[in-house]
Amino acid sequence: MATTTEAPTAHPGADTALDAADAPRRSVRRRGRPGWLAWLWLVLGIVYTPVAVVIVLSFNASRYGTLPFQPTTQWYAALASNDALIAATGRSIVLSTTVALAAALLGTALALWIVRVAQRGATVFTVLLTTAITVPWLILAVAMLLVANAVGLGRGLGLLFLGSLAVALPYVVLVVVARLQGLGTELEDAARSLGARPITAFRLVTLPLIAKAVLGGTLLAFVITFNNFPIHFFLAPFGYNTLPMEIYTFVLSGYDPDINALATVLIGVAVTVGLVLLAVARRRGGDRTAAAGIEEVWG
Amino acid sequence: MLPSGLLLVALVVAPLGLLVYFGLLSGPGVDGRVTGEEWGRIAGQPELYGRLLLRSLGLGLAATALTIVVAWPTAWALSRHVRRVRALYLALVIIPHLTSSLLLIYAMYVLIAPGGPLMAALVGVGLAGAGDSLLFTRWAVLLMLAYLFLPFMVIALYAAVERIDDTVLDAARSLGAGSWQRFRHVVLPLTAPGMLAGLVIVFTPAAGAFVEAQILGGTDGMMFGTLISEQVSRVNNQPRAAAMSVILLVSILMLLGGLRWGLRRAFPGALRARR
Amino acid sequence: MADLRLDDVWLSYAADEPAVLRGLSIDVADGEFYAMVGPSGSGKTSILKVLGGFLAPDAGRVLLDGSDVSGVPPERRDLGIVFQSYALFPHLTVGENVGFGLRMRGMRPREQRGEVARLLELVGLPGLQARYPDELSGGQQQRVALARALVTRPKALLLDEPLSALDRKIRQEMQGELRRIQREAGVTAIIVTHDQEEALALGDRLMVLDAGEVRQEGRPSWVYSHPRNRFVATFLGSANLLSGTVEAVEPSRIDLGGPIADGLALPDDARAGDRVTVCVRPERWRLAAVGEPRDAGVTLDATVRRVQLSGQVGEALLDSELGELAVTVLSSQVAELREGTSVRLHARPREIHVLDELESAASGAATAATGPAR
Repeated sequence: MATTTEAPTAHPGADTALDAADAPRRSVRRRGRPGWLAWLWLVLGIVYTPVAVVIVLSFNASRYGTLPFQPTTQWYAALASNDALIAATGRSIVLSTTVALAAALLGTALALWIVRVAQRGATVFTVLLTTAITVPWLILAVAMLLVANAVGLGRGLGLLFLGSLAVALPYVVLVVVARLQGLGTELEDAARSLGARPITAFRLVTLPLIAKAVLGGTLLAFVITFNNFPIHFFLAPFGYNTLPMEIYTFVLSGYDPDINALATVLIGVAVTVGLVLLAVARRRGGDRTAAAGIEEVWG
Repeated sequence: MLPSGLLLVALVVAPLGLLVYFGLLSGPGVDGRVTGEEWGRIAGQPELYGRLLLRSLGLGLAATALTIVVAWPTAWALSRHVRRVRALYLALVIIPHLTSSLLLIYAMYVLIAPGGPLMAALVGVGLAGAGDSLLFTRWAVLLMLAYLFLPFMVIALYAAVERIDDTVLDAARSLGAGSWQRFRHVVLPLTAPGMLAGLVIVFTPAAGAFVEAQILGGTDGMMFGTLISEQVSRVNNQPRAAAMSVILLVSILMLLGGLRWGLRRAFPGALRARR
Repeated sequence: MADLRLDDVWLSYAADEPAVLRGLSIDVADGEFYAMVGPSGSGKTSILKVLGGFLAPDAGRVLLDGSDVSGVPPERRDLGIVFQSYALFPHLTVGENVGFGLRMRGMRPREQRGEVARLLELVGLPGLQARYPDELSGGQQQRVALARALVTRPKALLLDEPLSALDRKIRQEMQGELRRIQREAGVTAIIVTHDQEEALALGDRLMVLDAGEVRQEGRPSWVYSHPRNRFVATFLGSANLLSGTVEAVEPSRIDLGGPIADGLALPDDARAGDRVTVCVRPERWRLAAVGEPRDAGVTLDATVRRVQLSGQVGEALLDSELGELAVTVLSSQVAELREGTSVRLHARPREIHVLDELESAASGAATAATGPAR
């Protein structure tokens, strides 16, 4: 080795510029302080207390939920033969699935239109969507029912579907709009500069990138529709009880061990689905976009 | 693309607008003449309608305040004191709410029923008498609403807390701000956008709730929404239901506007319109 | 205003990780502008965090005006800090940002007004009190951050890479501004940067940091022209480093593996037979005509490989018998230096510096602090 010529260090600011773009900064993390963690556990405790009580009682023999605790699985057997509840669960799943799929399709289309086509109209639509989200479901349901009554249609499956769709649609739109805006058009432009036709560029570049947001919006639409008691209560045709309606009629008559068993099953499903989705989102690194979507909807 | 926009207009905007018209008709259906008589009847019974409206708004406000008080430290703890399992904790807060609100209402019913676990525990530690019960009181409704909407507030505040840059807190420290001053002058204002968002997504449905009150509230906890629901499903006086819906919606929006104004005044810099 | 000292400070972030600061001592005099420069990961920012009180050192003391402040929290250290990201409060106006420190000391807005205006005047932003930070340019935000840090008349000003987020042009302008403001405020200042130009331009004194240890300290011009080791030589500017063996000490004569360097000042402990490194800055070479007689110092023949112009001066890369060499050339010379042109390079003894770090003939091991492998 005879000589060394060394250029000055890499251009100053090169790496810090990246740091600066990486918001927000965290100083060296203080370890989780026990007080804060205790608070977190307390809150989780409160959230799960009613749930836990129902789960425990679902294994208790007493018809009136009284102690002493005598283990049994008889309520699950009863639940399995409760045709009304099973039929209602089926209806809810069918309704929520169709509404979620329709909302995904229409919502993505509307989101694309808002972001890519309607430049000035976009604000109007965003206001419209946020209004749709902020009106209490009770009032929306009553308004829709009265319109249906006024035009002589009344309650019906079609109305139930449309009402559920109208409530769920804005959520899908907002989640997908957030993703599209974060995406910009540069990537699609790049694809087109490489010779892709607009439709091909969309299919090969944009669609895969918004797929996760669309999926998230679809799940949100499913959960909202599944849960939307006011809409079901006012718009479903008589005799077509969804699961929340069925639970409602049971609950009005008081304590019911069948419902305990049902609640336990549903919570088991929710926990499983929730944790699986979480694991998938983590594996795919989708944490951020999911958070962004939630924030866009709720923030 | 446009059809779905039109669908929204047809299903959301138009019905809400028509509510005003329906409310002016003479009952019981929505095919009567425009008389405005239902408005007169509602105005004639302020001790019923006025009181329940105030209770709905009050319960909505109280539930919102309660969720903020519980959710704020939760969001902070999640953001600053949990590292890897943060998403898991967040998911755990949300998961029960993925089932059905009716199931949660039922679970709460079982929990607070006389002789139920909560009351038994309270009696056990001497906080309640043997015959006392939370069930069928407005407190039960408040508890339920706060419980139902807690996750929304946690998400809204978490998003806001997560955006706060730690170096800003370090800067405040270097300028002499102690922990209370940092909270009061930096952290709290910077979470104002989250509080505003949380306010909208919690207060509106809470003040417009009806099943929660119907199942858990009894007469003491009856809400304006319960009354609307009964005008449709039992009494079948649709114009009155429409008029009441208009009253409730307008009250909610006005109160929301007032609260938003108040928040903006309290935190002018944090909530100013961005360019 | 005060003097600031670190005394044998050790710091590590976790018990099982290597220490970030390794027995570090610095002594900054009252009113001095002290620049710390080092590559990323060298521990620069950690030093500021220790000084500011955000990190407690594992061992050692932090002295402010002679008294130990190791246990004093940041909010009571009375230091002004300018953060790399500026860390302006986004929800407060410029005026409220600048007045924040006064407010924390119990001063009412009306009482703050005069001081806030004075500081904004000092940093060259008069009248911008009502704006919000996101309505300002990067350079303006930087100035607000300075004003905010200075308003409480802190004992010292700590600057963490304050200019790194700015464009090149504004960065150069702000360097001059920083010096002016520091002088006018008469405040002790410590700047941390990875930008050697910035450190050379700003500091009254310069410290080169690497791997948590001080590599060299001194006047910027001295450190630049008299680097002690390879690390400092290459980190501050660029350097042609030529390895050689000492043949004679008085008068000195070094064998560079063929060519000879003579008349150079050697490190005190150098002996005949020691391996040494000779450092020639690119701008210290003189281009001479081929065949010009050799003189004291180093004379080499080389051919031009490539010339790069970057303004008034440029850099030529030459192939010599000792390998590749970098030479600073004037723009007026560029036309003559085509690829393949033969030139003779000459550097006089006082333009050449022999690094302190040498390899003794006896032991064959490095005796001075070893530079990092780069």
